[in-house]
Amino acid sequence: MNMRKSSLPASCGEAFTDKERANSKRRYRTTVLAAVLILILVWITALSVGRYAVPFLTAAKVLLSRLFPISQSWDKKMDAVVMTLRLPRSTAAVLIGGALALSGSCYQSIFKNPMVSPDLLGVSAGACVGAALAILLDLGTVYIQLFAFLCGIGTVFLTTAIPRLIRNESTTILVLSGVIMSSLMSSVMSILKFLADTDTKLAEITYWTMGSLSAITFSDILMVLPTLTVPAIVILVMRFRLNVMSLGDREARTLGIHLRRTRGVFVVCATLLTASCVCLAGTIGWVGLVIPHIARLIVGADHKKMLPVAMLFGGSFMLVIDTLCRTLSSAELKLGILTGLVGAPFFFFILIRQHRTML
Amino acid sequence: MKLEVKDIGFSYVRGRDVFQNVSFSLEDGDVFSILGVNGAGKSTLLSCLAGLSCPNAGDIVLDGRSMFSMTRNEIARLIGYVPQIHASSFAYSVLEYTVMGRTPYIPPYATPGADDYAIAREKLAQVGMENMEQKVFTEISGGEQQLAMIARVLTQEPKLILLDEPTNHLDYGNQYRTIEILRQLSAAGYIVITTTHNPDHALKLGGTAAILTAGGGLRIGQAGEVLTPERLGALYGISVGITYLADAGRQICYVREGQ
Repeated sequence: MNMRKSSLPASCGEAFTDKERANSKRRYRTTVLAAVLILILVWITALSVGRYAVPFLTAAKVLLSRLFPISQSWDKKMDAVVMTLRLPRSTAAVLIGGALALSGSCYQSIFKNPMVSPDLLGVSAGACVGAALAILLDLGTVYIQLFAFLCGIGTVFLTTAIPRLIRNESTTILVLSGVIMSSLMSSVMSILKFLADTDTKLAEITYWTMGSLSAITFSDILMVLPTLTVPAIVILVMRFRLNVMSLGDREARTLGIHLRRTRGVFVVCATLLTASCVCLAGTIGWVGLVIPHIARLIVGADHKKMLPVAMLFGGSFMLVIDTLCRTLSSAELKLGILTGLVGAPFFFFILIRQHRTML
Repeated sequence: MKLEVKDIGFSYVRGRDVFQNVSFSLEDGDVFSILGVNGAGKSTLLSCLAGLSCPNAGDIVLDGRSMFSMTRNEIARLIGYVPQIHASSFAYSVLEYTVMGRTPYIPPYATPGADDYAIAREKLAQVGMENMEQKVFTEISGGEQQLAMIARVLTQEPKLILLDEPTNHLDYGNQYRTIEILRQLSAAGYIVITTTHNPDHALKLGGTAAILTAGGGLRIGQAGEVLTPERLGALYGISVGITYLADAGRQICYVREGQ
């Protein structure tokens, strides 16, 4: 069969040669390499700056000394600041940034909607309510995580049920129902805080929802590591399915996708990621919305290429934000303040740049 | 492949029947166009054939096997579906978009390999889009999007291709180029089923045609026999004529003035 004669005149531009294909592959590799380098540079900077300044190279040497035998030419205090104070905190920031970017990309694809994010869908607010409930009921850390996850996924379910219920699955209604669920959850949160014992529980709940990495330790990170890595691996392995899901339910089904099963896997994984982040540092807005957009702008929409870049960018972004939070003023700033301050204008900028393809 | 549609009917849970007792059978190389007024249920019928909607009655049999006993993946290897052109939110390249047609052959944990991209490129070349694989799908014209969608369905390597009003939103030239592509697809052995609002498209396509009436009945036959001025006039509520035009080299359908 040959349809060349009848088909539309091909647009200008020469046929794609293997060389050009190799070029586009190389461009992608360069982008990933650059993202990795940026992350490493930002990370070492984050380890060196702060109230107790450690020279950049010394911070790098301290890190490397754990991998290679390097004779110690720095004082013990610097070593302690880098390894026990700043390393756990910066590791958490990188993990959270990467996880939020990944779960944001995932939600955006399965809801075929580049406007959704973990915070817009109410997942973060729901997870917070779950955590607060577990604290109120005097349950242990494991239960705090479990409750955070269950309430998070319950909120996603309700948020996506509203558009189905009124038979209008437009972007506007989904975002609106996210607003409804978020404000409902924050009201529930207020009630829980009102019920909480002001001396003990309230402080714990408030500390939880504040969104700070100030007191994080490696054991905190280890607690959520399984619920961060397992869903992340599942999403990354199934990333081609994210492309297909983003075409819409009908087209995905005609391409042989078992819709409910596939969407279920992705929603559970993305919610687990978000809930784990909430467990570590409370609700942090904007990262899950803005970072995937930046990644798409640079490497295109294909999740095969876009997810790794989004995770690397997310990690660097959170590191920068957290470092600013602890260095800008003598008192620690809340993470959400800066992500909003940086994220909102940036999102506006992206909206202007790609207004044609956004909605 | 042989497609047998046996007495299918569809009605909404609390509503009128959309259609009932629809039966027909098609084989490799057959082309079938479905006409009907707005809201007559053309798209619903196509949805049933694609396995997207479930008819309340009857059976759809593919090579002797009921479609309702098949998995989504098995159906996807036999039936390709070209939806109406719609706004897409994600800016995939034409190649990334086309290779998604390989989904039924790619396990959930895998991504398309070199073979899959090769097939996608071959099908893009078949519709004359070989120079556009790196273009962004959301930025190309409606006609080019339509071609990319057809390339994606060909990449799926189905036996039956369903198209929901493929000429919608296309300019005059692209409408007839699309019809010509459908003819070539059927000549290449695919079963082609399409809905259309233009009876002249059905006449040009030839093969089998059907009129879905508002009452839910389906009149089926050879395009030249089913599509008469009387039936089309009654269907659309306007005066329609059909005549052989030597200059066009075929029967054409037109609207008569002042009657």
